[in-house]
Amino acid sequence: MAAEERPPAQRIIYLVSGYINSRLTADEQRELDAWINQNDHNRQLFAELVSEDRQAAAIAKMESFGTEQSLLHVTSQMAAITQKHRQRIKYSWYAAAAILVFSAVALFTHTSHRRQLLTVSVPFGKVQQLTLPDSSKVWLNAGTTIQYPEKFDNTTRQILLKNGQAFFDVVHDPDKPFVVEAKGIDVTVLGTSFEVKAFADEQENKVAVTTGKVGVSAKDQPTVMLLPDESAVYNTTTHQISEQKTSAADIASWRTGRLVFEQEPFQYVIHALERKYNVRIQNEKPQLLQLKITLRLNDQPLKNVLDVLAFSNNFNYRQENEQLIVIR
Amino acid sequence: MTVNTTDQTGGQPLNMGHDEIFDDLYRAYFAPLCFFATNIICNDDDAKDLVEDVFLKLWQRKQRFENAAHAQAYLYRCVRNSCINLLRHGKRKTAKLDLLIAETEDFQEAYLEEMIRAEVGGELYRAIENLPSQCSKVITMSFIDGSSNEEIARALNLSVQTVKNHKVRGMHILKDTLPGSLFVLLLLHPFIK
Repeated sequence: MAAEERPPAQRIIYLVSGYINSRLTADEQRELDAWINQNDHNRQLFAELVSEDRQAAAIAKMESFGTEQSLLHVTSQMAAITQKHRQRIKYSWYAAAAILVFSAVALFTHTSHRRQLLTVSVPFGKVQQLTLPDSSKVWLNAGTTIQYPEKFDNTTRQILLKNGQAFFDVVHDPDKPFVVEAKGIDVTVLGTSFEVKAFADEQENKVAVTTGKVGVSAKDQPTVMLLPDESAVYNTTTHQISEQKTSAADIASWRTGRLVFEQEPFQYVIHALERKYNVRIQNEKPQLLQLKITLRLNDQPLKNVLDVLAFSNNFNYRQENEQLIVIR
Repeated sequence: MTVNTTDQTGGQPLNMGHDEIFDDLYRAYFAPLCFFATNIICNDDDAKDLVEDVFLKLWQRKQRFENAAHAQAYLYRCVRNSCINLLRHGKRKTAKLDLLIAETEDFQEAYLEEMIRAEVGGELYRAIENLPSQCSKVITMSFIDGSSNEEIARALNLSVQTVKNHKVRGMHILKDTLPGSLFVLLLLHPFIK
């Protein structure tokens, strides 16, 4: 059979659907019959296409892909892309304005007026909860700084996590994606709860999801979608994103004073203790830096935590004064 | 629906950069395209990701189509190419084998056949999807899942009479969109009591 004798696929779709719907003209019916009778293969395919069991199975399968959920997800990605695009335009504006001093001054006053940014920093030893302009709730762990506008603009709800660890419980608004920018990654949601960790002195950012669906994107990386109990780790040096499983109970457990470490570098654990207990811990035993720590503890005095760590990792420590602990 | 997916010949030019057009094409073709991709790469999740990416790319490019038939052919071609790319660069063990098949001459033929399967099924899928939502749920549960009126009533928190009403209404609308034997087929289906 030469290629040109084969009707294009769309013609066959039209003819077979028309046959199923009894919409064919006599000529079209003849055209379909000719195709069916061309060979056994076509005859089999036709029988399969009009089989009601196959139809029901195909539709059930199509229903299972969740079109609406997927459309929502893609729409939020589109919103995030539009937002980035706007920022690019804005930056090139800034560049042009820098050349023209007068415009630069005008633009500066304009933007500073429009974007009243609020900055919140939580001291060591404290956990703070606050409510955003859209009534979404945020919990901030010790040593965290975030920045957000006094009033969100009409397209997105943009938050900057400058340093630290925060848990977000976001009010659902499909028209205004909620975007957390944190050290090289954008975390985009419509209405969910999730945790973002991005400490300036750590190489890895982490995003973990409690409810809903969360998109994590980094420059030049495909967006990673996370569902409940899933987390993504972004390495700020290699710019790679990797996915992991996380137990829901462990996510943002610091809100209730719990300490949870899952295969974390020793140094990160020390940093976390310094922030939680507002102390300085000096490590004089460099080989400890190679260790990965897994630990789950309820709200305990620092002494208990250090005792557990010292015993299981074979080090000694001494409390020099209120503020300083030395490990050796 | 502003896009008439069954009209193969005429129709308006379509621009994917247009929100309403984008949504219509998404609702019409996302599920059939996933069905199509799953049959090629044998993985539901990869298929979904891949089809989402294709739509996102076409939106970013503000892809224009001459009419609905052009859009249909173009979408299937894009998804097919993404499937082949995935098989070529994928990490799955069966990928190499699939790729060998994909590179044979028969593949072009097989791909067109998969498109025919997806789109003939897609016609009924779209007809059901375009019903009012509660009605569509009732029809889906009854026709596709084979649930009884009582089961549907319990699941959707409706009275049995309301379920029956939705069925009658849904059938009525489907009868207009799907005249002829596909509708009869629906009625004759053993699941519908």
